[in-house]
Amino acid sequence: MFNLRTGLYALLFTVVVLSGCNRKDPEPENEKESINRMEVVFTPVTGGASVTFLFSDPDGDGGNPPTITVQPLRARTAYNVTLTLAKEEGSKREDKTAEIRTEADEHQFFFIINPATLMTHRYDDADRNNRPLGLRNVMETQAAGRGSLRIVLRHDLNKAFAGLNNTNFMQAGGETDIDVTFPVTVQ
Amino acid sequence: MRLLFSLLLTRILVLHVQAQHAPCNGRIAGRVVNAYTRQPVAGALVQRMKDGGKALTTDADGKFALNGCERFAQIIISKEGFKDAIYTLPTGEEKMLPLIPETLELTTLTVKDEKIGIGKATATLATISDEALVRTQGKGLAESLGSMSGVQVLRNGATIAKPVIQGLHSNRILILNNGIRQEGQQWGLDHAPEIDPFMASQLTVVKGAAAVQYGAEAMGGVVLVNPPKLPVQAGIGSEWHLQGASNGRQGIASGQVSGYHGGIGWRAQLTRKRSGNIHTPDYFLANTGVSETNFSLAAGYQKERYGAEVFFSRFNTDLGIFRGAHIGNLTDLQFAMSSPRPVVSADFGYRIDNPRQAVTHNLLKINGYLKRSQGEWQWQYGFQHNRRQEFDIRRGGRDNIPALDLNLFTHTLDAVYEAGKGTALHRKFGFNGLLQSNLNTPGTGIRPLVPNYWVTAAGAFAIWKYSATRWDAEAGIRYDLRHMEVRRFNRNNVLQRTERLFNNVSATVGAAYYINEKLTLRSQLASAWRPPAPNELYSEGLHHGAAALEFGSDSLQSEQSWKWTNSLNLKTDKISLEIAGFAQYIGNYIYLAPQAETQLTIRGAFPVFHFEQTNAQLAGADFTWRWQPSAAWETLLKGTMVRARDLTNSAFLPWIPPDQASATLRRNFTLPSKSRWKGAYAALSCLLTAQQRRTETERDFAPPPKGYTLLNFDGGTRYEHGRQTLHIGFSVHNLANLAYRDYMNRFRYFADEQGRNLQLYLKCNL
Repeated sequence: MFNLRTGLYALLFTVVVLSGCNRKDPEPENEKESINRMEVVFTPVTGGASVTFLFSDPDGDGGNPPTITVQPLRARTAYNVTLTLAKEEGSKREDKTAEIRTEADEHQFFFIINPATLMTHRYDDADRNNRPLGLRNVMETQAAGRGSLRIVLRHDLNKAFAGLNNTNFMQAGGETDIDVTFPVTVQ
Repeated sequence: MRLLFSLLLTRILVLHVQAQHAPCNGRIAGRVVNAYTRQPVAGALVQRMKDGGKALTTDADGKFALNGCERFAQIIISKEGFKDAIYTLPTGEEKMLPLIPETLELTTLTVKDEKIGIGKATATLATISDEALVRTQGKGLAESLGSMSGVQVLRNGATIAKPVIQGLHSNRILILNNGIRQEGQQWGLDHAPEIDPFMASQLTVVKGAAAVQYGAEAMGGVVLVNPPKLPVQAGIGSEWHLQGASNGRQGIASGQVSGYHGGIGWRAQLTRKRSGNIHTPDYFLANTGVSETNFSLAAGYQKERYGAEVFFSRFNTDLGIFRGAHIGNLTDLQFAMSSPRPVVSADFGYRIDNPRQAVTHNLLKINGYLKRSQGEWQWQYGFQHNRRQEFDIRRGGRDNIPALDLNLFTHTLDAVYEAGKGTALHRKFGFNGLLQSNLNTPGTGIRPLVPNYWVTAAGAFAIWKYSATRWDAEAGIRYDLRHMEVRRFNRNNVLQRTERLFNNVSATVGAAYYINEKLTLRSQLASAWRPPAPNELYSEGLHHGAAALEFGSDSLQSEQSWKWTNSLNLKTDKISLEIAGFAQYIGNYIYLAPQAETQLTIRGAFPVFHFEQTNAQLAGADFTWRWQPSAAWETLLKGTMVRARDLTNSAFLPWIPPDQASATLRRNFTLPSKSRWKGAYAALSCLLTAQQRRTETERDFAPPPKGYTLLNFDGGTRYEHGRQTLHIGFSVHNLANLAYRDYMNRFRYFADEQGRNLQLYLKCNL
């Protein structure tokens, strides 16, 4: 019986000691995958000063609302439009564009212009299967006016979907990684 | 705790000294009756377990008597057409001993008072075992439980299912796996219980709060998963299951070998399950395969007065999550809901891709008992390790890095002293201790959904049961103390340490009134509590599957509940009826409250929900009615109804099961008595599910699906050769191949339920 008693106390002691010494602090996770900044740079094809649209949400989903800044575009002008993605944390900025380019065959950007008469869009890059990606594009503004530009990045979609375009892309499956709408002024 | 242990040890020492031999003049007597009809069973064999000596037979009145000098004797009763029953009897009084007939196995049985220990005598119970269990085991634990009235199923597509007891689920119910509190990540609506139903020989649901005995979280009910008893007779026995199902081309093989040698009873069990993509009437559901491998080992040394047992089980599953339900934002969700069939098409395949879950659950249990004339000591220690890895569709070759990787370690220690068993005043006192740590495996590259935390909890309880001729009364009280330490990083990656202390008193009072031999009335009022779950305290961000931003609050208080359950049982030769009703009040009910604004993220705007507290009320009723007009025909009617309200905001609560009713007609075929084929039957059943109209439309993404009627068939027979039996069964689920959606499936926004499923099952006892 003495052994049983010693055993029980030993068990109790072990459990208490174990529970105490295991309490290590967790390690912070580096969220390498998340994108919280998108820059859209409009450079006139004929040269001249570029215009930048910016979406930035440094504290991620929730928290403070994101900032969206835009500048007016000139009417009847063709622009080279390039997209840059990054993860911003404090003063650090990690580029994420290359990650999308590496997996170009699993990704595609779509550009929804409203009203459609505001400007035109065509892709200026492609993946290894010669299907568009959308990090580089050409957009040509029409008459002056106001509207919006919605940029959607789809991941794991069926890029072989027949007639895939800026209006029917939802039917190609996959899911949305980015969905940002910028107000656009053409003057 | 130290004091309690000293007390416990002192008692053991005292009892040891007092053990002396008494003069031998005892008489062990009983009356064997049919568990359903309460009619005496004549000619049943009664044999003492200890010496395996001469067998007696019961007389015309079902009575028998043995001479013996022990205070308790273990006997085994056997009779053709009935299941063998083992009883431990005190000397000097005549007990009524029910035998369960083998033919009446249509679905659930209600356990009668003789089989129920203290603490459950006045509660509403339902059990499933044998043939009814074999029929549903292959579908997983939740679906097995869902065949009982009052229990429904919450699904996440075809691969994840959780039991709902009288409207409550997840952390508001408790599962006891072989007597140990199942500690997994129950808070997740898409986290199924990590238990292999093939391990169990019986599943019992306590449809009432049982917090006094089991502690926190037993608010809505308790599920008891019980493996068969270890053998106490020499020899080796085995049980083999082989099942195949057409939908998902599922195959299951399960085997169990048990034996008894040199005083040690043992059992080893292994289950392997594999299934592929599930088919709805019109299309395959992409990535809905499951691969499961489970095993358990047990060994025990059992004497009449003392014994000990060791049990180990491992559950291991790898399951796919329907690809079409994986969405990136609200627009994706709305598009998925508006398309009549999933955008992601698929063919049949066994391959499991991301998104998927890989879950392992290990359980080690060591328990023992020591019986003395004054009372019985029981203790058990349990260790559980739950590892949950969830793999998501990720960028940059990160598919093999889990998005969530949680390790939950739990130690439990329970000690119980029971006295006065079989006397007018039966008492039970107990202590429960728990140590738990939840650790995120670093390196997921994603902020943990729930933080690292450590829980130390202790509780003590006392239950008294007073038995008179026509009634039993029960009362119990419990005190719980729970400490939780949390270490997590806030949004700015600053380490934060928080400590919370919860304490609570729970109580129960109830009575069972045996109006006459056929009619019993039970009523119980029980309180229960639940501390807030880690996700309710610390969620902070996007819940992908739900397309919502969810925010926890670490100022949440414990939920407090009172549940009143009532049941009326009627048993005659031909009819058995159980009507159960309940009313429950939950103070500080934690729920996801929708906020007025939406929040913009890089994936677009999302609705925002905060975990808040309100007061809720649930009420409902369920019934089971069985009528057997002749040996050939049986009918069974069942129904379940739950009503739930958020009292503070006068609104309906979400995820409350709609009203359901089912009707079964069964034909038993009589075969020549000399034939080795026995118990052939065929049954057709019809399940009606109403539309859930009691919902808040603006809080849901889509209106609740329409009601539906399902037709199911099953039939079976068995072949007996000496002690060996082979059960053969065949069933068809969704006979009409109906395309329908169910309100209780969280994937109802995306796809139909599964179509027709043909299932063949074989069970062999050697």
